Amino acid sequence: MIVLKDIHKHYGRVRANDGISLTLEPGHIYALVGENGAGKSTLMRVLAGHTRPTSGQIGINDKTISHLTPKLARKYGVGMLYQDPLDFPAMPIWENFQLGAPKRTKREVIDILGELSYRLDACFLPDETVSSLTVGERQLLELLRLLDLGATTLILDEPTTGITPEQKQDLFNLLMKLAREENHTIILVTHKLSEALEMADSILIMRQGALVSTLTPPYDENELVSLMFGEAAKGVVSELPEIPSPAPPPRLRMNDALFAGPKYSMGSLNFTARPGECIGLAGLDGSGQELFLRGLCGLDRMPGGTLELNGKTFRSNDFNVLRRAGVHFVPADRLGMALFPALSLMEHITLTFPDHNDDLGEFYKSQCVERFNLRADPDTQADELSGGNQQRLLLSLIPDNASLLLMEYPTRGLDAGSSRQVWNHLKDRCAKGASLIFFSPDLDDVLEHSHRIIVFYDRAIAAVVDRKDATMDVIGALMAGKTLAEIKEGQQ
Amino acid sequence: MEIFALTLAGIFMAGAPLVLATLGETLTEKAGIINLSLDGSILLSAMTAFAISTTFDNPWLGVLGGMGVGALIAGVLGIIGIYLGQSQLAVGFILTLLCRDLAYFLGHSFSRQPGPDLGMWTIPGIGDITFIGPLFGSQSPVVYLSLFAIFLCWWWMYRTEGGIRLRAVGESPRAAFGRGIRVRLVRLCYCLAGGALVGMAGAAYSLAVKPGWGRPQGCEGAGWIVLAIVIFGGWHPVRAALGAFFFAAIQISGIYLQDVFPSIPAPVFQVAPFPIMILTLLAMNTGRMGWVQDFVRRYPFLKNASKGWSVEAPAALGEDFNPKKGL
Repeated sequence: MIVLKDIHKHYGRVRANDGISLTLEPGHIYALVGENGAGKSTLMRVLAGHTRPTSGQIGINDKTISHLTPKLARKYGVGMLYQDPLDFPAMPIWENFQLGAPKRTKREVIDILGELSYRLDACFLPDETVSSLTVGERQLLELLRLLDLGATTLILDEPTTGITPEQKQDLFNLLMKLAREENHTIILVTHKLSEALEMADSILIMRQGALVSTLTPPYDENELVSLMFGEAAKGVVSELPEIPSPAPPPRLRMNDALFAGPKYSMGSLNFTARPGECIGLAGLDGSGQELFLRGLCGLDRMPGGTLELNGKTFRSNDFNVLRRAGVHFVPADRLGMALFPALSLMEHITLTFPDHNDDLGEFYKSQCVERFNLRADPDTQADELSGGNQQRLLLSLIPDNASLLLMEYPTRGLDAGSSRQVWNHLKDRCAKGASLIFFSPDLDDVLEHSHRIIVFYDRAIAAVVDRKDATMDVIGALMAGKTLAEIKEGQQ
Repeated sequence: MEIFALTLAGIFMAGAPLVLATLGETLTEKAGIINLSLDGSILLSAMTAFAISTTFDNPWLGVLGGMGVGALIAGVLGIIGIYLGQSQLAVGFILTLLCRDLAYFLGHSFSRQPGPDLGMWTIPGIGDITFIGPLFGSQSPVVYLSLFAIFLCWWWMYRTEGGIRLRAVGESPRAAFGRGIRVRLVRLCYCLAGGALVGMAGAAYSLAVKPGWGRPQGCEGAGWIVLAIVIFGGWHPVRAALGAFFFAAIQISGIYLQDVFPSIPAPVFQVAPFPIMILTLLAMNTGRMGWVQDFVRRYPFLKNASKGWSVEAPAALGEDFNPKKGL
């Protein structure tokens, strides 16, 4: 039994955890739900010994301590699985598995790994590097490692991001088995209500750093939603814009395009996007969707084929030429790739819109504050902004005449209110004639916000699915490598 | 055959200190720390080694002294860079300049003095074997030491638990911390160990390869080339050692070529190894260039040939890590 008592964790003025107390009992599955930024991950890192709380007490097995270290957490059987697996991509699988465990020879490690993976229906080649695995496999490897270390309390931070629905089911079955048969404590950290409803023996709800409520079955979904989002639950997501008919000439046409990234290349890409269309990309990590977006905007090379934009043909994909032609890319790594962390909001605006240098103050107000609801001091540095505000700033930097928007994971790290605002803004742009191509590891997002979905598998386009045919099952199966024909056969 | 073997023996000798320093820097960088102070560090430890061995008339005491100085300088860098969170590059660079001046200043009274050196070790029984005999029958101890160090480094890095931990902290200190490894302590340890090897390289210069102390000693610039060889070697001890021997080989062949082409001014041969190193580095890493990748794509059989050509630096090289901030 684990008892957290009055845990506080402050980062500067931000109270990530503000006096949280809770009790975790063995054999139970808990779901810790809340929006991005509610403080779920911080609390779990405290429990795993990866972060030291500002104040508070942790009671494990009748012992009370002020904080845990990774070593102590291991001793007490607490293990945490991160959303981005915390492992060593460049090192072999068996070394990743062994690191941190008691001394063993390579032979022993491989035997244990083999036995564990056999029990859980997995297969790992011990001498391959971890970078050759998908995110799902890396998580499974971490899970095996924690079990091998004797973890009895397992924390899983958003474990279903970036894996197929089928893999998700396998994972959930495994967790269920661990809790029911081996009496493990499972804590599932998630922002998806459906997962919590499906799995949890009790649901812990966090909002703005505090534990607002603990619910036990039977669950009332409406109550959950209002507890989780508060007032923000009441917003409306706008509908997908209608595509005008008869269809206008295509916005983008790819003719046998070949994109080449640093790790792999993808050839014979033929695709046409119409103005006003929202196109979602689905695929497991490294399946090709990243290269597709980066190639389209000119960040990766195009050694073969042509692109046609608004009827104009481009033989090469120079980033600046394409940008002038109206192609704008918004990366998932906003601070690292798109913003200048140490420059202020106002400086970003000055750099991007040199024409407005005479009326900067006015322009800032109309562009950022009124249109994008960006409520921050114009002198704030970009790296001090919240994820939502960073995305608002980025979107406000894209000129209105942008005709093709390429977005990687548009709502990464955003809370529900900000996400909704971002989607409404993107759809608004599409309604005015822009085309949007976006990728999100969150399949719900892709299904909800696309006219068409391109599914990637094994570094190629597996299928292009129309909105009316797109269901979670179909897209999930395509992502896992099934073909459309096989899926149709299965349905009959 | 005899001449070839003797030339090779000369390359082993000239390459020995380069190998030692390269291995030292490889260890340090594999743990994620960049020690830029090599050039000054080698010079100061060369001076210390010579001074100690002259004073106590024992060259092995000198080697130990050199290693101590190397470790001490690396320790200063380690503590300031790892624990106090300052820029490793800036501190390393300043240490280079400081140590160089310190070496000339403190070593002034030992300049151009006679002193003991490490001499030769003779391995009985193999002196008469063709080729092997002239090569390994009677060599300077630093050659044997450097060859042994290559094996030891490789074995430690890729065959022991400690080696896994070493690579882990250089690859992802966050993940290593999550597994209960004391990241900063491990990094400091390899900083010290690497520094000791660099110090040994300094001692190898003043006690074996270019015996004696003076201004210039003759090992100036070696530290900078070692930094390049580490990259050249892809942070792998065996490959890095080969790079060091390769550099020694082109340096020595310069001496031979000077006799063959007396009309070419001597400085050309002295300077040539450096641009050759840059060109080789380029050639080794062509795999990353776009047009080469396109070429390989067109002719897939090249794919296997190009495997292992391009290498990746330790992912967290030069990155600061503070466990108190948490993950």
